[in-house]
Amino acid sequence: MGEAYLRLVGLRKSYDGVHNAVEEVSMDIERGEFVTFLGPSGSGKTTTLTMIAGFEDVTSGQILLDGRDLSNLRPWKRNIGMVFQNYALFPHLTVADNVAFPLRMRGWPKPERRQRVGEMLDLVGLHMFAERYPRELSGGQQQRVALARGLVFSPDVVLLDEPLGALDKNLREQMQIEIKRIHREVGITTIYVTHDQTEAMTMSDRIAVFSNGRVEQIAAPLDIYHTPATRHVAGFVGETNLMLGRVTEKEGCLQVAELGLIKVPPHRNRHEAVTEYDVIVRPEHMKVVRGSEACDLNTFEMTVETVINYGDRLTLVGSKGGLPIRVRLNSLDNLPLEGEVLVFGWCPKDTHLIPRQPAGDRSQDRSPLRTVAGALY
Amino acid sequence: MSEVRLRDRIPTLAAILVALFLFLPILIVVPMSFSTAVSFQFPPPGYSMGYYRAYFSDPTWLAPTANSFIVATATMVLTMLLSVPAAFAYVRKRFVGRTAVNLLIMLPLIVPPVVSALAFYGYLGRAGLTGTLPGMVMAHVSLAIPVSFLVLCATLKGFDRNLERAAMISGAGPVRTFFLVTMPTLRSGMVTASMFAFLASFNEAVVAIFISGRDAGTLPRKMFESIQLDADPVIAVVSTLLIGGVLLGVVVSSMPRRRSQSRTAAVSLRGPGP
Repeated sequence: MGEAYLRLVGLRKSYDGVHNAVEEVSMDIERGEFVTFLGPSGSGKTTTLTMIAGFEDVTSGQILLDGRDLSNLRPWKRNIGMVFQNYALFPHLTVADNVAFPLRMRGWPKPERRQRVGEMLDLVGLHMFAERYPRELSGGQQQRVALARGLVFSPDVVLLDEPLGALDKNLREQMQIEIKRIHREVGITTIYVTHDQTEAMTMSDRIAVFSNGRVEQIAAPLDIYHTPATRHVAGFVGETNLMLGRVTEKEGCLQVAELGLIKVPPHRNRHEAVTEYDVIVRPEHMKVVRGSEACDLNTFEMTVETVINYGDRLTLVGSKGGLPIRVRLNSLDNLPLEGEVLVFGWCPKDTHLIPRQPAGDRSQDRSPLRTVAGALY
Repeated sequence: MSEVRLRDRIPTLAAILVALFLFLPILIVVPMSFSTAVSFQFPPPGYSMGYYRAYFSDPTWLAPTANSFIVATATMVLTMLLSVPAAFAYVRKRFVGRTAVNLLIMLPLIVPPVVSALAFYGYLGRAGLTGTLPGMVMAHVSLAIPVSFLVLCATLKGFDRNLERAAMISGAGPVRTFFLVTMPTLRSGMVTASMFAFLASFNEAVVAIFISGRDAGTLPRKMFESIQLDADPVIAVVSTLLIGGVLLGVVVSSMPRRRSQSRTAAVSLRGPGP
């Protein structure tokens, strides 16, 4: 066998027969894995989730769960759990009855039902609220009830659709830890949809970055962060300094219009046809260069325009020849001042290169460099 | 300090005045129903239960009362059977002529009652249904549908469809989803819509005067006839009983109970829910 537990094969969804909400989504998800669909709204992540749940038909493609095709199964036959952003708790039922609902639908006898519901409420820490009604609970508590209801019948997969979107920041962090803990304890295959990169980074085994109805990259969080496959992924996950580098005759160097010649690490899949690269340097890899350690670094001089102080770290914002550049400093010693001219640099090995598609494919985005960098700035 | 207090109380005061303005003229029938006078007289010269005894023993009053309850109940049931599917279709589906359908359903609410009455008179007369209970029910259903349709549409628009999705993904098929989740959640709106349908028929006088005839006469028609002929204070008795019935209904439905449904039902009677 060796086949993945949940396989999405060439999923496509079109509502009107003309435009595709989902262009092409394929991925293999292992049993027990926590996979996050990350992307902006309209990127197709929620539509994909809705197709897995069965609320929308698949225009073409297959959803295979443990080898069987789900495409023609109605939602109530799929044995999938789901947690909705607005909780969607049944307002006329108590917390216990809400959690018991899926078991009732499966014809569990009452004593077993009660015992299982008790276990689930213990798991989410709400056993003392069993007889309350949903509206008598806080947002975070309601979300826990929804989680318990989605997990109570030991579904094959659980889908979480922006479950923390309606909560405030502190509660959100608390619930992230909570969901992660529950996932560890229950070990259930989980698909989590969010547009919040922090959530994706902290919780997932793997992240699938969605854009324009496609998966741009699916990889472990750190791989996504350090080796983004496209400049869109780089821009969406974490802060990025994005430049355009042209191949020059000098081996191991690229020409960047704003910074001049830069040294880059040997690129694994260097291709003869590629003449341009997206050059990505994370802000935390940039540093202030004082004295004469500059030998191996790519250096440039820049005026500090803005200093953003987060308390435990600083971000310096400036621009070089029209290219916005962000520098993260973890040390608050020698606090730079706004207006100060400093020498910055980064180590060549911290440069990540993404080959540009050959010309012809690029007509639609004239100046992605400026747009992405500008959006970040 | 006290000035501020006074200014804060002005809204309360205004509300009380408006309530009195609305309620006092209606309330005047209560003392008159206990009167000993032979016709309407205020203040009453003396008090007795005589007219109550008269009402409860006079078949010319009791028969229309029974008719009213029969017609209103039948109207309520039929109206709900028709307007619930109509409201679901209108709110949830996109189809050709959707706006036109909405306008058509609302028409009986826009047309002056006398015009409707005349139309029913001609239409039902040809079918031989004037002066019969089924004829009355048909006319009242067409008047009640727009009212309950409006209430149901408002309720349905506020309904979170993720609740149905949550039920389905939990393993409930369409039928169980409808009866275990959709209906209970919409219960308060359904109750309100039924009540409006019932009252639309129970309170209706104009059409009743035109088409109900002797055999199918309803209470409002009987009251109208009675005041034209002899200004019989039994009308005051009937009015008092009606006011009492309505007050009782409102009080009962607003009573806080443990079950959540009754509470939401009461809320929807007082105003739009959350």
